Amino acid sequence: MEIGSSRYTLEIIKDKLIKKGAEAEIWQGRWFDLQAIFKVRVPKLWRHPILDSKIRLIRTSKEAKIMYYSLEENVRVPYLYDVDLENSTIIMEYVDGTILKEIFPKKHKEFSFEIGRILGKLHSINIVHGDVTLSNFILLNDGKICTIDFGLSEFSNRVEDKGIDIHLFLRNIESSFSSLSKESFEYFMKGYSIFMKNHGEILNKLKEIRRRGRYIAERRRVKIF
Amino acid sequence: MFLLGIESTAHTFGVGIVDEKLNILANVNSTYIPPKGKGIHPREAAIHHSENAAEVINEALKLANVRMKDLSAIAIALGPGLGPCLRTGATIARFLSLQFQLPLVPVNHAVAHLEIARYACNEEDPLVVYIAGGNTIITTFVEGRYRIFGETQDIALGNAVDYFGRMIGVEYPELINVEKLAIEGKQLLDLPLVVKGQDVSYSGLITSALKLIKEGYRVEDVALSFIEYAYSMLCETIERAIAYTNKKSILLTGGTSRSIILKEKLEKLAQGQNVSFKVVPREYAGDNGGMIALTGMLAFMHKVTIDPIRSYVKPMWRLDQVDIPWR
Repeated sequence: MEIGSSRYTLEIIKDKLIKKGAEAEIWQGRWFDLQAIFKVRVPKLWRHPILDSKIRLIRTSKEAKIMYYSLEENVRVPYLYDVDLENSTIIMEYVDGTILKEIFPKKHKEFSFEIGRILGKLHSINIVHGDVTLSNFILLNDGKICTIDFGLSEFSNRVEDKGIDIHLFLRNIESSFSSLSKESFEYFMKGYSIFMKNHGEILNKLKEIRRRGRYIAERRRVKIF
Repeated sequence: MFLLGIESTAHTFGVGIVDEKLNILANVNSTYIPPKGKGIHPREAAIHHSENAAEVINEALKLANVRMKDLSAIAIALGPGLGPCLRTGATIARFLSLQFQLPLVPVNHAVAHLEIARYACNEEDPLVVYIAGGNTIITTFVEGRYRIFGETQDIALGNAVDYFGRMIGVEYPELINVEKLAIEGKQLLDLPLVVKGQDVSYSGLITSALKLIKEGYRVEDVALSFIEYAYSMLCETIERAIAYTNKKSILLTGGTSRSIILKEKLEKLAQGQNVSFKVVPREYAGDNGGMIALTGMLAFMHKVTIDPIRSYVKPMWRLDQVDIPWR
């Protein structure tokens, strides 16, 4: 989709749909001279129109705020270009690199350590990511790791929410790279404890979370690291 | 081959009879209706069951034109549900099993709601949304069991609507009457929307809605807001589940599937996600004996039986604890 008619006068172009999630559409395009990603929360016809606009407004601004705070604390996330609340759209940097899921086994210790460090940093400023999977980390050309998709993120100081974040990471590694999971978790915790001083408390919570009824497969396993 | 199934997990005592081709020959149910303004009292419901059991069983046998000695097995819903109600049904089922020398088949009530919907709507592998007075579950079948993708963290959707309805003084059936009020509503008020990942939570919503009533807002407006928020929470997790599991159809089952407003919403949701949407027929929506008989027959044909001595009731028996050998 193009806004306007001639390429020379265009400044903001949203031209290719690259992903359609449950809540938002991800478009690729240009923002002035830069390659950009447009995250658009589309209206839901099944929602009451007033509730729908309210939810999209609140979630868009919260996501942008969380990304901004993360950047301020030197956590590498896509740079914010613009937040268009009227169209519930976040325009951000197009991050060029490799999704960690594709290369994880090559340097699983290093990557796990780095994810742990990032998550520990976020948790130390009371941000929980909410969707910690290897698909949401991108290895940049300069060697840094960029964290993406803060769609399910929250401001939270609850031990429970932080424990859930770690649980999500662990479950993701177990389902994709089960043979590396034990070692990965060790390195993850090393990285995590750099900024998180009360990591012991979170770890205890994690054990409790993994023993709960919902995660029966995990409960059957003898040890939870 | 005939099988008789008994349902008694909550307010309904029901008896179903099926043959080996899974035809439901009888589905007779008697529901305990609490006094005006009250919820189900487990003891009162259990008394209702014991008083009506013989008549319901006889009527089902007559309707199906089957005699006790023609039966091959007895199926019983051992849970999840209310203890006193479960024990009443289980006692009757054990008696029949021992007296007529018939194998006893344990059935999970939640599994039965899913199987009857799949059977009646002819759906092979849908995303099932099971909403009722005791359950709010989004589930799909993966490797031998129904796995729970999302559920309520506190009370069920049906329970929430009924409770809210009673508190604002609407009559039985509360679901239909609260929705009637909601349609009259004009203004959408602020309430908490609690979606935690894939789960929902309704207890805070009720408290906030009742607070608005106390503050003097129009009952119709509060009803509209309550219904909108409650259903939007559920729809959001369903949409997430569809995106995640890639299922091509949504199947709605359970007593609360009688909701008119929720059906409208889910139709729009399904259209937007390009999947099909079906609802369990009315007669099998609420608790019924037919679904226990059907699921019992599926289990019996896969040699699932239980020794009456060990057939304890399981009030907290979770859906994802049950092996499903017939799929």
